[in-house]
Amino acid sequence: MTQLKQLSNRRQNYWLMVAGFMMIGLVWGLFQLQSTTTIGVVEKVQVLQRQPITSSYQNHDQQITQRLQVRLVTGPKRGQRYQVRNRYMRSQAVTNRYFVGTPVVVQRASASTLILLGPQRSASLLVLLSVLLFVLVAVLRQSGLVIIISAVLNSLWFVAALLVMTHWQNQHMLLITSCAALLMTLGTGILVFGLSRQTQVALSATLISIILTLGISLLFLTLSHDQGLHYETLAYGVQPYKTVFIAETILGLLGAVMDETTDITASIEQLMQENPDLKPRQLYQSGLQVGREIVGPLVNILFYLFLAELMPLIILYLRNGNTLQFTLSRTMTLGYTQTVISAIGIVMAVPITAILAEKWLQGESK
Amino acid sequence: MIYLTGLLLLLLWLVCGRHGWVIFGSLAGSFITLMLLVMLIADEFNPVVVGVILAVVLVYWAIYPNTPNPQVRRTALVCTLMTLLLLLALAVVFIYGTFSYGFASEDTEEIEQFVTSIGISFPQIQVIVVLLSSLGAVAEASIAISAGMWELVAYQPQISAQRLWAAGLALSRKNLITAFNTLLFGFFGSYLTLGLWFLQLHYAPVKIINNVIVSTAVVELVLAFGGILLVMLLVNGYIIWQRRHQTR
Repeated sequence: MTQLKQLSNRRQNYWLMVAGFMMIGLVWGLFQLQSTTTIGVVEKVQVLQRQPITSSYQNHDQQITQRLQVRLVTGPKRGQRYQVRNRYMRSQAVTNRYFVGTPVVVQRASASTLILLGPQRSASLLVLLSVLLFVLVAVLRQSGLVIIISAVLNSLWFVAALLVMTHWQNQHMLLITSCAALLMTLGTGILVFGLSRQTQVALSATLISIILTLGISLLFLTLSHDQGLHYETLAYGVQPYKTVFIAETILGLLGAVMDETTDITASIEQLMQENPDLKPRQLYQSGLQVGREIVGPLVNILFYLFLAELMPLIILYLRNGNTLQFTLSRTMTLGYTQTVISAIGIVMAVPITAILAEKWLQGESK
Repeated sequence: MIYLTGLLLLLLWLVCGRHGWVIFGSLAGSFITLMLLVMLIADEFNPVVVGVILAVVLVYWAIYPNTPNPQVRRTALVCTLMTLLLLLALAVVFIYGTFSYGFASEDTEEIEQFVTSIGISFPQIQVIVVLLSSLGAVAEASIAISAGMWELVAYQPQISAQRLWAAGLALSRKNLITAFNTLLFGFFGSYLTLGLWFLQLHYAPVKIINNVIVSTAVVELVLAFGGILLVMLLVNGYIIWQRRHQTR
């Protein structure tokens, strides 16, 4: 017993070591990137002036002027101190309030003056990412590592897809997205669940559901002549609007549908292990049952994610004298449609996965 | 939009039967609650205070209609609320620490027509954004794991706490991976255009990792992941604690 415990302790240390190495890699990469910018740290903060501001639509705010003492921590003038002024609004929509200890990105204009470019975010982000990596590996060990590897791989596919799109000047965008989606599905499925029958069913159900959902949804959109949709409100206006919109939809749909299909197949697999002589029909029924139970929570995830991200923009619209109806039509028609299409995908995946699981079992018992 | 919504309703009814209406109703309820929240914040109520109050309402909308079993429901509610409390603290620390709030220069085209000095604290709004965007995923994980674990307890009432903890972790692992992917792909979809913008305007990598929109997205994603991880540990601990409590 004690031997067993020692062994498991040693394995735990091993995973922690792997996490440690990953963190060192992250820190090293960040330092490489940062070596091209000049970074300072705020040492002293003094408020010089507070001025009330009233703008149109009865918006009241306060403009505050800070005097900051910044010490450079990188570059040839490391250690030198400069005085910089910073003006910010109390609401901080596009300006920032600085505190003692804030790292800032700066540019030296002359021997005695410094231009403040903005806060340096990557160091704190690194802390956040390291904590997550560490906790993941410490709690889940090997599975934690698998999660991290699959997340990194998927991000690489995503960046690769973006690079190819840029290279081809935004041509064939749908083809590229579909290929990336296929690679992500296969990669995640095999890495996380292994090359089993269960994975095969889940992956084929995912692909079939996505294709069917996209087909039906696009047919509906075309038949209604994109009624109510404002493609021109697409963020950052990357052309062609409709193609980019569909590419975004494919990616969102993929995550949601894969979640549903893997959950259903996993519980059918478990059921089959518990009572091996279940009839295919019963498996189909219980697959439906499991699927129905998770439809609601899954749709909620997407719904909250999409609405929460829009909040700052909606509030800005409302405070600028716009009606709620106009605000919503300018901010959420595209996101709403994408969320509804993903929800349709989630619902369609339930019977598709259950049918595939039934067929797959019939094939196995013959 | 209306036709697609109708199609969703029809499919929900076909696949889930009467429960489909309940799901659709809870979505509509969540939507109205969120709109109410936005309007209250725009009317200068403190964003964090009204945000937290309505987040509790949203937790009920997310959990109540989706948990027929009262035991599962109670566990899911308690653990989700506790997780949101912890996430609130984490969100405040990391949003102010990484300056992940407000608008970026990339948003100029969208907001240049507007007055941005509106007297409502954007860091505080962002705290609520982070809380709400992780709420759905946290609620889903807590429902799935507590349902699975209570089922396990029902099958094997004599199972020891240690083995229950191990079984709970195994159950959570699977859920964690799929939930992580849902969020990750959701973000890929949301930030596809931003990524193209960065690449096509030849942004330097340093500028990308220092960008407000990127750091905001990373904070949201990491805290949602962290929330799922937290709720999973809490559900495990809570069920084991409750069983010990009952047997004494």
